[in-house]
Amino acid sequence: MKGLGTNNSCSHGGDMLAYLYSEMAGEEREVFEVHLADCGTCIDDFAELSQSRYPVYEWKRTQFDPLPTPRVVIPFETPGSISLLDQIRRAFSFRPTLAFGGLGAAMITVVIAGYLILSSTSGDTEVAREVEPSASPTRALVVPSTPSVDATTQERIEVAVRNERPTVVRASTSAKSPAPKPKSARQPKRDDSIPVMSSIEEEDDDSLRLADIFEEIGTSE
Amino acid sequence: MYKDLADEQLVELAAGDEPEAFGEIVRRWERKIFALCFGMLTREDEARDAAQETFIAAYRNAARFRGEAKVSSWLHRIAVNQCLTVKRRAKTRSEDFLDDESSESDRVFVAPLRYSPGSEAEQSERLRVVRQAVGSLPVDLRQVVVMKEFEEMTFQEISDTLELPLSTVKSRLYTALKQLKSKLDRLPVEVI
Ligand SMILES: [Zn+2]
Repeated sequence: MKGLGTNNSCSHGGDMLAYLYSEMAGEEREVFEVHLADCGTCIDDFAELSQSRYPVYEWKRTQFDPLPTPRVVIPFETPGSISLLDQIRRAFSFRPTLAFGGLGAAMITVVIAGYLILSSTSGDTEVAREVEPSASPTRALVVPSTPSVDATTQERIEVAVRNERPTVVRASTSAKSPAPKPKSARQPKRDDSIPVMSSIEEEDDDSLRLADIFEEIGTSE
Repeated sequence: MYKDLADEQLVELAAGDEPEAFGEIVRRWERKIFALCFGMLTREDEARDAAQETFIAAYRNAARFRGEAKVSSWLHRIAVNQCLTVKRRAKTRSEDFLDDESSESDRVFVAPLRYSPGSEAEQSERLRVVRQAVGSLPVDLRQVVVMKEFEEMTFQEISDTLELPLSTVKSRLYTALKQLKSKLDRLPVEVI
């Protein structure tokens, strides 16, 4: 066989491997088969390669083909891995209106807080005391480190965070629980995804085939 | 949505803000990569681990995929590296008889076997010897055998994936089959 450093002297241009693996077609194949029928060297070479190939094919067919494709789980980024700060930052980056709303709420809070502070330092403790109980919600607006966020806004932010990357949430559930993700889409559809090993398939082909040779030498499956 | 995109586009998306695009890569390649790992490692459990780790490593390194190579080449490179890692790990546990071909194979091949086509035990022994013979091939030869037989790739696909000339791919497979022949010939019975 030409070009592959074989130990024979045949200089025929046929490609033994292409023929063996049925990657030779049409006229090229016919020409090669005519040569093969008359060339003892090539016949020996073909038989030898076939004898090496068949056990590997048998191994694959009997021990690999029946195996289901393992379920590959990719650890996509989970919501838990996103810090609170990032969540808020992302929410605002996606919802500018929320950012403005939050800014407005912060300004109002500062104004109210300033008013309260001024009125309490003005010496009128009576007023301050009166205001204190009912003002606790107002004071709560001053305390948090994220003063711009009132309860409603916070809720909207959470929704925004949840909605922001829905696929991440989906992916994480897939990674953690066995059922959710539409794995059916990922289940192997072998017939679709795997090319047929045409050289082994039964075909209407009466040429010299691997299977024929094995039959001749008395091997059966 | 992702089905119409090329592998390279999917990896680009996964590296960006759409990690789920990588799911399509997994769906497209999981069987082939599992086949590659199975053929390279010859054991199902190890092949599962290697395939899983291949995709995780690929996903984590998606940002480094520059598109100068094909995704198939990239995945195959990662997979072969994962196989070698798994094999090394197995070797340290000194469980992998395939790595100990010199001593084990001699012992196995010396034992006379009576060939009987219908015998399950015989087939099982035959397959064990074949696994051993394939497992003892040099990695570059073994990979071509596995890509051809297990992944059922054409010579051109192997050539593209390994980024090797077609003639080199065929030459490697030819050499591999010849080496297999001599390994299998050491059996005192016919193995076909
Ligand atoms: Zn010839």
